[in-house]
Amino acid sequence: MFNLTKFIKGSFSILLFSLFIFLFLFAELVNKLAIFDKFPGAFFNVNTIFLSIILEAIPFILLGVFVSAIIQAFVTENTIQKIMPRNAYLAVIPAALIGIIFPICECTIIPVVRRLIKKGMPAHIGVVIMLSAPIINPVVYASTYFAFKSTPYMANARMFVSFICTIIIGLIIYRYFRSSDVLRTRKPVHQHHHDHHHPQKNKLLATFYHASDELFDMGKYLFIGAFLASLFQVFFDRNMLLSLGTSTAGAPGVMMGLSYVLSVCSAADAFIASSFSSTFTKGSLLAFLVFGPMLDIKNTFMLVAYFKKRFVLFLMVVIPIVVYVTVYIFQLTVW
Amino acid sequence: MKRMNSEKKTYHHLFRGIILIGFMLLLLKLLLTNNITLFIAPKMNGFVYFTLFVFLLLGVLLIFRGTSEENAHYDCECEGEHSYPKLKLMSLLLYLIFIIPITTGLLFADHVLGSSVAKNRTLKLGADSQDMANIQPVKKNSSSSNPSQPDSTLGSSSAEMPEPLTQTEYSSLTSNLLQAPSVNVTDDTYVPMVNIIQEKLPKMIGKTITIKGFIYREKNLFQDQIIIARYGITCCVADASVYGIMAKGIVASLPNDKWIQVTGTIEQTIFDGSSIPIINIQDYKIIPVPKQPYVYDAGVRIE
Repeated sequence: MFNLTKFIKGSFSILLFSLFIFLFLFAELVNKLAIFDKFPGAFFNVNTIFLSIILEAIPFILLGVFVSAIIQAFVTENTIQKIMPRNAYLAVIPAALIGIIFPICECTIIPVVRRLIKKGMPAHIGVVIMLSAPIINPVVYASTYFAFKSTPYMANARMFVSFICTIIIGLIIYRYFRSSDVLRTRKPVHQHHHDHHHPQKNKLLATFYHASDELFDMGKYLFIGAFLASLFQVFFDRNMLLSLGTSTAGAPGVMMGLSYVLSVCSAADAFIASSFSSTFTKGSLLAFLVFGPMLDIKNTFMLVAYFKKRFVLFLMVVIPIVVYVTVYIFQLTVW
Repeated sequence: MKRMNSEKKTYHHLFRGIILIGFMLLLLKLLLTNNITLFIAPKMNGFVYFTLFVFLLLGVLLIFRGTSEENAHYDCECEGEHSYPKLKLMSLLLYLIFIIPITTGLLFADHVLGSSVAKNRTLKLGADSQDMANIQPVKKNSSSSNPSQPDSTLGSSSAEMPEPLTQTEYSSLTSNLLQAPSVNVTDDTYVPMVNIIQEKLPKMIGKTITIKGFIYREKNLFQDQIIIARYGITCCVADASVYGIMAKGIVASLPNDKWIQVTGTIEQTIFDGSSIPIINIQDYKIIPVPKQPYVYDAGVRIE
């Protein structure tokens, strides 16, 4: 019995490997087969957009995993304690501006922040960094500035409103999650390979093993999120929204929903927002630009990989409310 | 019990190693065939090489780990935060999540987005009426809050990898277009050129234009009207937006998604209540799908 499973698994891995090699060499012959002509065109569109999201995200997730490994190896709890400002309230301000020095995108920041919180950084500071760094940074400023060439105040408004929103969200989290653990912990039921027989045997090798484990833990969520996003990208007709764009109260909500389902990177989303600029209110475009990098389908799934479900749900309620209200007040008072 | 457990895990390592190698092969193939440009913008290629290298390394390490007799334990101080699925069905599903995209990626990498996706996107055919009212000249270095962007030297860009234009290049392109009697819309300046034609329309009327793209029709077009469209990509295909110029002529019989190169004069028409440019086609030819069907870098760089 035991040998049979061993045999099946062994042959499965050989088959899998041969499949990849075969397709690598002969995919051009296989995809000429008549059967693929019967596939609906939408299948190929979903496939292409899905893969492009994955190909775009993986390098940045790898960077995040490696940075988090470096933090794990070289930054001690003490260092974190030392550099954190004493005052928990004031600490959110430098946290919200850290992206100006470290322009880090959504995919990279999540593993890094998880590691920092694990190392003792207060959860609310971690979340402020996670939400602000992908928006309040020079790369995103530049792309927003030129996507909205004719309305250059949009880039400044995006930075300012994001700053206000992340600080409010940080303070709300400080109020509700001050002393509770927000990170996902796995039940220690199945004792596995952490036997610590050979401590310090090969730290570099351990780092690589760790990175690959983390990649797969996170990867399944990324793939599911990217797949859902690509379905919306292909099947959702954006022109349906155009009639909803003029109401001051409703339009920001519509655009926030759109930015959630499209899951486009913060460096590129301004160009999509600008394609709506003739029909949608400025406030709703602003809501799109502020909300999308903080929360979208793709990174919701990535958050689930690392944070407690209850905490992710909390973020999914608090972030949209704060962004909506802030944008609403901003468009009434400043614009 | 313990032995069996670690036995199982070696297979997880082996499968994961093979999957990473599969991914590496997918990336390698995309780079070798240059189909990578159908997924992400050329400026991101460095990141693809980085991923390829890391996956190769991790894949080989994991395969060795999964096949070696000695079960090396390692110490990663992560208090059991990694999970390996226990049920066979779950682990099969988990790995299918990765195996299926690698397979479809290797098979269908040459797919190019066409008009069926374009019809779900918003397409700008003319200048924003909203913005027309308050177009102000953008002052250079007007606010100190402009984060300075690294200024790369001019002319360093290869033909394959168009750099975003600087503001001066953009304005010199504008004045060139306004003076020239004919306009040839090239790939590397496609988006800025189309923008300029839309925004400075009154001064562009009467000029001869040559442009290529795929044929696309919106719902309320007349029979003799088509849109010559391109996808513009900032980072990856997921952020693709449709750009295009309307054209009219004896084109009713041409099917959507055919690639076409047209020459004609720029005129003006009213569409959906706003005035937009339209090309009066003098001559057209059907062309094969170009090697680079998408255009990149819609943006202009801050100086």
